[in-house]
Amino acid sequence: MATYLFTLLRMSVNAAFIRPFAAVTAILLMLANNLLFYITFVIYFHNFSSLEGWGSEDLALLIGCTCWAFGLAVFVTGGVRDLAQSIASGALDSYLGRPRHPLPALLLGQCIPSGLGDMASGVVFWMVLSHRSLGELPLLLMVGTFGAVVVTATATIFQCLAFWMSGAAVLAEELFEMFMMVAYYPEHPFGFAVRLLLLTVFPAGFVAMMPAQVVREANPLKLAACAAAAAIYAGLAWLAFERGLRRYTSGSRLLELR
Amino acid sequence: MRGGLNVLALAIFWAFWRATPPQELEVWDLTPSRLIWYLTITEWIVFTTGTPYREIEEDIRSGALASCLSRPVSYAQACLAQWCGGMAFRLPVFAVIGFGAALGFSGAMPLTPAMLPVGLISAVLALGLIHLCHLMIGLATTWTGSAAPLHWIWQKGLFVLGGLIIPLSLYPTPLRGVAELSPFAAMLSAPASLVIDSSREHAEMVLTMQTAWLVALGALAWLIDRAATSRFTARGI
Repeated sequence: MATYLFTLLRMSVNAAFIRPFAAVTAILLMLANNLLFYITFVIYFHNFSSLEGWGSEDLALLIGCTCWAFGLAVFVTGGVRDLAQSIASGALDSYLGRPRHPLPALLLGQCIPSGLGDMASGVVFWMVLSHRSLGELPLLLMVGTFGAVVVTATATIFQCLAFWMSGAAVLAEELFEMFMMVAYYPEHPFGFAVRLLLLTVFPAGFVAMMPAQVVREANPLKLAACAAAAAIYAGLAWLAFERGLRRYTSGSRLLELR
Repeated sequence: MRGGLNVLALAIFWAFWRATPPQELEVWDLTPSRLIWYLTITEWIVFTTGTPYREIEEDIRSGALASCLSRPVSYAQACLAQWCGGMAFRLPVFAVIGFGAALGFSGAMPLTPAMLPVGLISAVLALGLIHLCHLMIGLATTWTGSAAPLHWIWQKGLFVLGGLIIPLSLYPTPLRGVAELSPFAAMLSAPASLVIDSSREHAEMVLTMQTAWLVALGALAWLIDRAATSRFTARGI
């Protein structure tokens, strides 16, 4: 299985870098994009001492976690954002005749090179702007990777709506945008009910807020919660796809037409 | 769904500004209510605009532009007219969504009734400026083949130098100077600043600055349109 996944990843990475100049430009632009956006927080902390106990270094830590998680998710499993389209157009048919389960091939079928720019900016946020030590890097990479699993799983669940709904591709993309928007900003000033929502139904809290708290507080229980969230949401995504697949009958074009 | 995204952004920043030490906001004569209304207006303009440059990029890439060149109205004017129609629909829709959300969060409306028409005119002028930029970015496809990188750079300029989230008055002096000299300030910060300073002098300054930039960017857009049309006529698409 590992060889199969590695082969899929290698092929999609090769395809993404078939035009190396365009790929490298996308990576550099994404790195610059993330760093430029951080100027807003630099200005904020230039004027205000803290955001409910959080300083600029904490914000950089949180944004670094989001960048790493999103970047890794779209670099490795970039196909997730086309899943609803594949379901609606019937492109899923060609995967169903293969001996392997269709989901890994669909997810790993596309690599988005700008994800590397996000991952690089994550490291810049952690090491340069948040002043984390090199010793903390393995923990950061671990919690960031758990966050990436949650990103891919949540996007998969959103995209699987196409099995049940027409026009779900646009809805899924906009839900995903909302999800990432929430993950990008600190959530600790929110009320208890909202935070509970962000750790359950709309699990943006596991992309950056909880990973950032693991590193800030060196809390093993929260680390375990991140690992458990990655496993649970990956399982839910798999389940959503499996349940949807049972409804799928040679393309959801009929559903789209209806 | 875009409306939902708009409300979500406002909810995030409402929590954000309420978590900011109030005594530090008072130094700048600001309140969470004023700041959320500032963001409501900048977001209103951004969400109303969308990404219309892509239509021009697509027309140039697909060659659909060729059939537009023989029409009595120039392609650029037709695009602007079409975008104005879309804008006339989206502007009130996003106003209802954004203003309703801001009113719900803050429970107050910082603009006086007398300033509402000025705010509306300023928002329309800002949208005019942004659409002129989209026109120029779209037409740049003639030379660059893809307008996306140019749009990316322009958009970041708009967000940072235009003061999308934080009013320019809070920017450090050198950056504030650069931002205020750029056209981006007239696109976002200028109309939104009316909720922070609703004096008559400030409103006059805002409208004058926006009109001046509208003339300057309008002239630049006209030149770029002429250059692009000449190139199409001489070399084809």
